[in-house]
Amino acid sequence: MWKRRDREEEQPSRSTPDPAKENTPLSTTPAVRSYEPEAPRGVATIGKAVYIKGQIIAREDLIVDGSVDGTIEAQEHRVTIGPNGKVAATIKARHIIIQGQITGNVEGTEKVEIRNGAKLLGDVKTVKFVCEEEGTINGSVSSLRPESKPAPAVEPKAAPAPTTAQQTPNPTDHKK
Amino acid sequence: MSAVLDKLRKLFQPDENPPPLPSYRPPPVQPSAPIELTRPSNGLDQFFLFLDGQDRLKVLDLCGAPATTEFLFQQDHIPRPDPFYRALELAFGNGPGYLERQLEPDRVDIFVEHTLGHKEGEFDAVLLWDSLQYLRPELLEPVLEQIFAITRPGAPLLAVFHADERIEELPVFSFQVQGRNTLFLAEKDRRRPAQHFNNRMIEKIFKNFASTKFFLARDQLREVLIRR
Repeated sequence: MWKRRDREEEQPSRSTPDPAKENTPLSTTPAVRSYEPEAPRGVATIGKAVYIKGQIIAREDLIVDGSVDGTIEAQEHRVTIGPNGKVAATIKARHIIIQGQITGNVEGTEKVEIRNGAKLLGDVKTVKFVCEEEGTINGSVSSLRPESKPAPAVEPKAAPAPTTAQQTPNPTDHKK
Repeated sequence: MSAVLDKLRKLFQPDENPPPLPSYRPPPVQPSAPIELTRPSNGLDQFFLFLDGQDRLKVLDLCGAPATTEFLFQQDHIPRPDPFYRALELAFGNGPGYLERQLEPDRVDIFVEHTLGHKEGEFDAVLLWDSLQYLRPELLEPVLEQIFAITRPGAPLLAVFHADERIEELPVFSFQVQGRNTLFLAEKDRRRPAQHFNNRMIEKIFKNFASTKFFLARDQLREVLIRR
């Protein structure tokens, strides 16, 4: 009798989960962790033995060391054309670094860099432009002006300075 | 007397075991180092005066040095580097026969069409540098006609000519703009000029243009500012 009670008391204690075991993840592989939204940005790479024909839209940084024929878009990211890269495409990205060969127009919303040995046959539009001594361009280089900020001269001079947060200019107000 | 004569003989007789003379080796003939120099440029200063007060002007640069492209971009213009010298090599070669090949009309037509095949009046300014010195009259004439066609009226053009008429091979420079009146010259190659240009000849080849202005410099380079 006494022994049975003892067994009944022992059983629930066995079924309670061990707190140390509960905290351990099921898998510790990096692939599982990469799904976390706070993970650092990755870099996609197109290797030198790869040929892609079509449109590439990248949501992360992109390195092209192979051949691409079409368009490349990575609006918020960096695109690097590696030394083996041969690209016949228009490229739009935040930051474009060229080490290989490009035939096509290039638009960098932040910066375009042409490194030694690079060859670009096409026009460049960007905000900041850097070209190393042995880089070659055959095309025009024009500035892509950043989005125009509200000019202070447009504001009427007689208007009093805003004292409350409500008076901050709303861009939709101008349209009315 | 005989003793004195013996001493004199000893003095002038060759030693039986003379010490070895240091063997003379002529200094090795070193090729002259490529020229690199930074110089002020009044012609460039005047060229930029014509661009003042205007932005986003399209500037054709026949040398196409990256430093010049970066400088013009920072000045809020639209540089258009053109691989003119490279195209010249591709069309006519780089060896001693490149001037003779400029006599072939087919080559000349292809060169002009592919190298300077821009729209009429497309450019607001042109940096010719020393490119014209390497063109025979048969090539120079159609090239200047094409440059006339692709620039807007009033556009400034800057050209450079070597003043030394005796020199057989001219240094081919990379002209790099470092400031409004500062040029960095880096020698890339040496090449036989097609002809030597004096002031009268320069005025003659630009007879269709509005004006020419000469700038003298201390070195052997003569700068010429031309208005379309």
